Amino acid sequence: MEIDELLYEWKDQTILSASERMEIRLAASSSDLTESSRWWKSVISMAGKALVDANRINRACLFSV
Amino acid sequence: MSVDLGRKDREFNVLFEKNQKAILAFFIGHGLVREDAKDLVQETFSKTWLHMGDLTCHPEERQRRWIFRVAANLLADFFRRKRIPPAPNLEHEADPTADVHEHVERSDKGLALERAVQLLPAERRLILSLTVLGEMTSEEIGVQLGKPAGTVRYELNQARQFLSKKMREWTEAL
Repeated sequence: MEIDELLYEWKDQTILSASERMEIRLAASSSDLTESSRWWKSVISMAGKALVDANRINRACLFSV
Repeated sequence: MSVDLGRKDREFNVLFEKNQKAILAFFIGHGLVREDAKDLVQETFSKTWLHMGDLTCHPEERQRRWIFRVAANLLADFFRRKRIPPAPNLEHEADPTADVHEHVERSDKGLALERAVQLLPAERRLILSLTVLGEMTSEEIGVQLGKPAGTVRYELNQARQFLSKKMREWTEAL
């Protein structure tokens, strides 16, 4: 196996996944909030993500009919 | 459909996405394990969030330099807390490759590569990490490390040659 391939594999296994990035972004951008505000922010963010996912699924269903 | 996060959140998200790979690479390049590096990325961006108001009026390059400086301070604190010397350089220490042959034998070349990366001289390892994991150009790395881009390219080339040689040696030794 070439060194480039190994380095690519190393990168693939090391960089942050989408969910890790979201988790870090959320935690960092809540660092100046009180605990209850932090909780509300995470609820709103998760609800927003669920809406986006639901919309994507809905569209996928429509196109598959 | 999009969720309106507010201006500060939007600007922060842009800044985060532009710099997160480079900052993770910075910590990994200093020899931290992934979990510790991830924690420090979070701390770096928590501080960034608190200074968004001052940061957004500066050009991107200056913002990145500021974020790197925060990361460097957090790294120094980390080493102080753990009471270990910064940027360990294992190149000439006694047999740091004890289990490497096992990794190569098991065809787990990825793990062997990680061990080989740890054997690189500290600065070479950092340059490799910033290039591969951080997707930074030699010019960008040069700006952060205060070195000419040509020197960065030379160091990177040396690092790649070292890794190829080590991997070949370990494979042939089987």
